[in-house]
Amino acid sequence: MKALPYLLTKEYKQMFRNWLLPVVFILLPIAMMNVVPRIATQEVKNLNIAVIDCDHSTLSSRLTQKLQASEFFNLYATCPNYRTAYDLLQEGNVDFIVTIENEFEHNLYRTSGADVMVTVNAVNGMKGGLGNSYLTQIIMQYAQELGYDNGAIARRPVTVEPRYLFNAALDYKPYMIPALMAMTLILLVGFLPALNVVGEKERGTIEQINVTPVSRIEFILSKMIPYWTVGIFIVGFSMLLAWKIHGVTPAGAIWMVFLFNIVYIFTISSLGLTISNYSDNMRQAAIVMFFFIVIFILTSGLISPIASMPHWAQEATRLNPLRYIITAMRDIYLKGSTFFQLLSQFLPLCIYGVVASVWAVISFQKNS
Amino acid sequence: MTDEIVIKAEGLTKKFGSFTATDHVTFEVRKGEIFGFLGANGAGKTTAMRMLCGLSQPSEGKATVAGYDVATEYEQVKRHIGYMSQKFSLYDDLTVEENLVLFGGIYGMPRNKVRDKIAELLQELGFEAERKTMVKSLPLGWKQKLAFSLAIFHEPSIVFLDEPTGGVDPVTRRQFWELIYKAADNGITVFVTTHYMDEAEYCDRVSIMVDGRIDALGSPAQLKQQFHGNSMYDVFYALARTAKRGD
Amino acid sequence: MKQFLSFVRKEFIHILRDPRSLLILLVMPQIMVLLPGYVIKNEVKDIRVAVLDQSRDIYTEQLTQRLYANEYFIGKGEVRTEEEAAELFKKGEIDLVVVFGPEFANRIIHSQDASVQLLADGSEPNQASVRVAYAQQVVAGFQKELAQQMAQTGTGQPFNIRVNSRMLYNPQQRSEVNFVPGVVGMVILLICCMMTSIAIVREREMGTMEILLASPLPSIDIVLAKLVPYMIISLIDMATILCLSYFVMNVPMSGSLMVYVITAVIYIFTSLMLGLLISTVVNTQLAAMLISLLLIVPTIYLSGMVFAVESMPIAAQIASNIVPAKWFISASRKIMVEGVSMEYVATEIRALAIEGLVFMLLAWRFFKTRLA
Repeated sequence: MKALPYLLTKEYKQMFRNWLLPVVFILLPIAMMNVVPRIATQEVKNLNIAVIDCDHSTLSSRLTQKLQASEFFNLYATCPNYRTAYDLLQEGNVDFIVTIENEFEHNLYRTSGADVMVTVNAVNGMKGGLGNSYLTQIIMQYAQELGYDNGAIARRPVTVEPRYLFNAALDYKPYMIPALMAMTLILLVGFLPALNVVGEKERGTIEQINVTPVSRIEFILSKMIPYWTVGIFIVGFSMLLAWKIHGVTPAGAIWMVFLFNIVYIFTISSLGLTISNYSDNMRQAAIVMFFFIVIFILTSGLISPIASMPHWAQEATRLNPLRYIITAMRDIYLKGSTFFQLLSQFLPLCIYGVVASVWAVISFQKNS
Repeated sequence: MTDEIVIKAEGLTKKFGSFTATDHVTFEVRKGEIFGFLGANGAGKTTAMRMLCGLSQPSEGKATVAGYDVATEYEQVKRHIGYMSQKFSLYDDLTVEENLVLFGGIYGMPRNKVRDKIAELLQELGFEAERKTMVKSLPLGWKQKLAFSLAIFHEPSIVFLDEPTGGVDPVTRRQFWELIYKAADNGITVFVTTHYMDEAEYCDRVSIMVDGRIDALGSPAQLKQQFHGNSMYDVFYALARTAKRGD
Repeated sequence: MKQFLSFVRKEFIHILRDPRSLLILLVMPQIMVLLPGYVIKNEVKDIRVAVLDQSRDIYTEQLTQRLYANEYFIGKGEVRTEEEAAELFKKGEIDLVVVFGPEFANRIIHSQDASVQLLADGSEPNQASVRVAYAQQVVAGFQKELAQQMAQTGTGQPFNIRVNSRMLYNPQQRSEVNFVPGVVGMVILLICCMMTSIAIVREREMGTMEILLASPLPSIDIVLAKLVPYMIISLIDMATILCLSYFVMNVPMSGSLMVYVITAVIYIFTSLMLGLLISTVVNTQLAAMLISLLLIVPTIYLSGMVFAVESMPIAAQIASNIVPAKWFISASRKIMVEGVSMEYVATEIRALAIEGLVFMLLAWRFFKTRLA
């Protein structure tokens, strides 16, 4: 290991002399922590609706007002007929049309019920589904209020109170932030060191090292260690940003955040290196890595829950390192889980790390 | 020049699939020699050299460099050689001094020795002012000299040069060869590949590769006589005409 | 023209010589399309539920049975205390705990203040609210029967509103219908923007760009020649994605294919120009890659591909108007799923065309500055 300190000196110097890298190391976490949590919410609100009131009665107006008052919806327009409302829907200005029938008030008082039709643009299934369910809830609540006000129904015998543990306000930010950290890390610590190595292969400077007595492990460590240190910095920096900007702090132990991330960093950098060992130039390496990153991100539980996937897919995600780190980080941040409770995430990640690093070393060839 | 043999190749062969890049090449190089490894582009010189440097496994045959087998003891080989590649693999984004310190350290030279040698080297080359200059801002000729100096910085017994003088004017090339002579005088064996035939004249002995085989081996004078030529160009031309590969 | 074609041929050879990358460029988009269809779903199912019963009477027994029998839930037995429940949550073994307060049945019959608490794992907000909603439905069903038994409300309920919902275009709320247009947008962006900028910069890095520029062919042609293969690859990808999604995943193409292709071609143009623009401002492949990546991140978030744009803060909504993918995804959803005619996507097409021209002009400007 004699050569390692010299190689490390070289790597650190090169890293910081390239202005782009340090800038990205600072900017990307800021962008991720600052901008993304504000944007990437799967909360549904401000949905535009159009209401067609065919009755123009007191009761129908009250319903319209109730809809308007809701924080989920935005009354874009009241329309005289379906044709105009449908135009708005097709244009993309509204996603829901509420049609109140023209005997609304009469039917409410006199007959078994009045009809309200909700037309939903269900292209975005989740938005459509949730929006529909909120609209239905509001309308049903209105019916209930009318019932109570007019003495027609007694109080319900059973009240149901939901209590959300770990995240009482169902705030989306603590849910996203741990996952965003993992994503930042895989982009910077998985992608970049591998590109660095392939870049040297492409430029030919790697020959100069291959011809020296520097061992494989020394070379690999010299490439990885700077990025590991950057990774650890990013973990700390991101946590700081999350705290300062959003007031989000881990419910669990901070040392666990670092521990899990260290194993994660170790794993993804080894994966990246393995890919670069099988690539001849930067373009190839970039495409392959990108492919893996996209698949990992999509199936990690970041975008949609693993529990919602078909069973064979859930098994397949066992091969996805992001799955473990994201689950672990969310649990640490939100539930304050202990280390032993998270062993089922930690162990697979460690195994993954060992396998990936061994493969990276073996596939790196000084002599072919 | 002594009679000690430092490089010995016997039937050295490299195949890539059905393509034989290096075809049963046999030769010896003595200590302190300047050995020119000539041939047209595509003749197989770089492939052969890579095997000798321990970068590539031979498909058949064997070779020893500094007494170590290139197929099984390549890491040992690497401790005893220096190398300068076609792309002058210096790190562009490090300074002259930083490059030298790096490679000195890699070969295990003690720090004060490195310091002294750097001072000595910079003075010899007239580079003192460039100590802290980024390599990428150096002109090509200087980079070449620096790359060569780097290759012999750790005082190896053999240095391999792969097309070291590409792209510079004849005067600069001549200056470069002065450095080579100096190294050879100090006992370093120089193994150099080139396709500049005038440089062949500077070598003690040369071999000429055609289609992966060595078709000529000897001192420039011997070869000129053998092939009835006035210059190495003539010798080369006589051989290259029969070539099936390369340009 | 012949010279131009020979350059195009050269570019194709570069790409074909790298079969691994080519394979991924052609296969990755298909996988990106299949994933949302078969793997990435938002439905909530297999809710692991446990019961904390402080009452243990006939009504709690009945409700528990109903829960376990419900297709959405998987009964996981009982817990005795809230601490035990919390532990199970932290281990990730449970999703919902139903807590019955003491004297449940008594309270229902006599004081009408019985309560059921639903403890949900709030660390997954959306999932949690849906799980709660399902549990509430089970309880509501139970209540209705009880209310009828207790003759509180009689035969029909006055002030009853019947809500009929009609889900247009995607009645089964399949996520792939929403995702596929987005995936096409992403893929085209990746290929036309990232790959082209890397290809152009690579040439410059290798030093061969100058050789090409010195040739009699106008420099603009050289650059255009680089764009052509990627344009073709993205068209191939688009075609294969559409076939895959139409035939295999039943994603509709309700509108005119023609209109869709026109929109797509304009989007491809815009993305290529963006790639070109990037290549004029950077010098290394690494930089081109990093900038493209930095562009892709906002594209994922602001384009409406995954997250609904209206739910975002105003600033983000404004910013999303700059993202070309947003216009394309919006237009392609309208065309593919809603089947609208061309005038309904005029806004999008216009926006894309303007952006494309702006990028092109900027790229031209920077390119000229370079040469000078």
